[in-house]
Amino acid sequence: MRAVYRKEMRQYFRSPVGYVFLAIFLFINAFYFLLQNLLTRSGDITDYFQVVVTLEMFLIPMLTMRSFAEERKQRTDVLLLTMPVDCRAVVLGKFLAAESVFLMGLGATLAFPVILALCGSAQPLITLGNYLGILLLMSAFIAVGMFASALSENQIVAAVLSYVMIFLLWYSYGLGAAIRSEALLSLLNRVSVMRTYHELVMGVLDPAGILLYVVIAFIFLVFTTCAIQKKRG
Amino acid sequence: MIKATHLSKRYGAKTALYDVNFSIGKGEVVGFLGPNGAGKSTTMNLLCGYLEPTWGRVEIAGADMALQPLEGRRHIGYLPEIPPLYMDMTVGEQLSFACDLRGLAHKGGVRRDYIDALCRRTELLDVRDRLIRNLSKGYRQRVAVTQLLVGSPEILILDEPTVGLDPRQIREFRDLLAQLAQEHTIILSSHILSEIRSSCQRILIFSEGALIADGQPEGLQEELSGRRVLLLELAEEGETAFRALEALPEVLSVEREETGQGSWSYRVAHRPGTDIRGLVYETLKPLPCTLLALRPQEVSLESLYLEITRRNEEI
Repeated sequence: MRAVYRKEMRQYFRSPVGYVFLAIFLFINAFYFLLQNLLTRSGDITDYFQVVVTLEMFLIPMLTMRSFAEERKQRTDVLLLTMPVDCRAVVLGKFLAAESVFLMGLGATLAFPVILALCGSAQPLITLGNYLGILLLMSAFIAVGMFASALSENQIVAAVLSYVMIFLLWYSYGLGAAIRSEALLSLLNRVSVMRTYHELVMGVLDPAGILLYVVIAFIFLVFTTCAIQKKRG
Repeated sequence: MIKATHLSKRYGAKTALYDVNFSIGKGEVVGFLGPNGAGKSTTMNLLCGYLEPTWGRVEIAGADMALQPLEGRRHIGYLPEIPPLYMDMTVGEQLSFACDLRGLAHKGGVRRDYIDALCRRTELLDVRDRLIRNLSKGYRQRVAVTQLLVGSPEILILDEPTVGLDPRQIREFRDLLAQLAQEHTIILSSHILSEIRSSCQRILIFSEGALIADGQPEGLQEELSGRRVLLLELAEEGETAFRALEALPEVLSVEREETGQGSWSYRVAHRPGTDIRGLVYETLKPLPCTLLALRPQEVSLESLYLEITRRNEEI
């Protein structure tokens, strides 16, 4: 796993992918922090997080679309799959690398709550909820993006698939409402990533909500492993 | 070392490989021969665990690839037709990555020394720090072969390793292969007969997803054609000699024609597994004819290969 992780990190920053992702990520975050907090003189960091979350989730496929699609296209997957390495370790190594790049960007935004605190508006629990919420949500979406990448050898197709799956997961509650089914609505409400996220950003650290994101990430990592194994069969 | 039992592979409705059985012993150098799409690469992919068989099983050094894939893969180094190299890595980084994947626990300088030793063996030292993207096809192939040697797996599987190389690089590659054959069990695939014959002690011929022949190049010809041919040259037409040869129990047929140089050439076809040179000599000795030459026909695997693959396609 460590070998794959190191290789992935090297590839993120030897190609423009890592830099472009971080540049866009930081630009969007800084821009909306300026717009939502500094210019409006608002001390509530949730104002900024609520806007950037939808933008960030559409940046995630940039990180994940090449992870397996490119390996298959370049035929380097043969190396990974014929060496004495467990397929799960390959998936986990790639997941942690994408997660690390995302964390680099998110880590840089920690300056924003510090700035707000210096201006006299410290909200430790709300800030923690926002960061935990976005971290867990994006981790789940990274796993979704990796699954999409494992399904195709074309990066664009992988990205489009990621967007579709992320969109469905994020707006699942709204789609349930459109169906007008009480039972489905209740189920979707219970497993809605959007509702769970909004609870977390309000500072409600519900273990069930946290578990939901962990389970989604886990399930999609298992799906990714299965998709790769299926290509063998 | 390698055992394939009832190996079959289907892609949807298409059967790429059907009921292939063979075993390969330690130290053997085996060539997979067949036209494109015959099932060579599929067999190799199944042996190294990149693909899983639809039916059948593969055993590598006693490990069932379905049950202990990691153990099996530990013994195999696989070089597919397109070398699995990362273009944005340097040669050293690529080899170091292969060391990591093989689980070789080198520390700092030891890793560097190990990679240097590998590079020295395949003459890559001067490009060690260059990006693979900037290397020529020949060098890339050499990097892929070096990567194959990381961890010194006992079995090396090479799928069409000389495709795209120039004649000098092909020759260098054959020399390297000859060196490797002293320490490894090697499976090599190609659709070029001369390449297989120059490097391999044993040949497996594939056609249309089936293994149609398995043996040594010379034996294969006999096995597949069902006959051996002795070529004679007599100074005269020799009707008596012709009849005497036809009467020999091991002889299947006799043909003769004038060479245009005042002598007659005879093609005496006889059963495989028999050596009738002495018998022919003794038969002709008392007869009123002059024997100018006697030799077994050279193995012509090329024509045979074309014949059997054509025959198989017709079936």
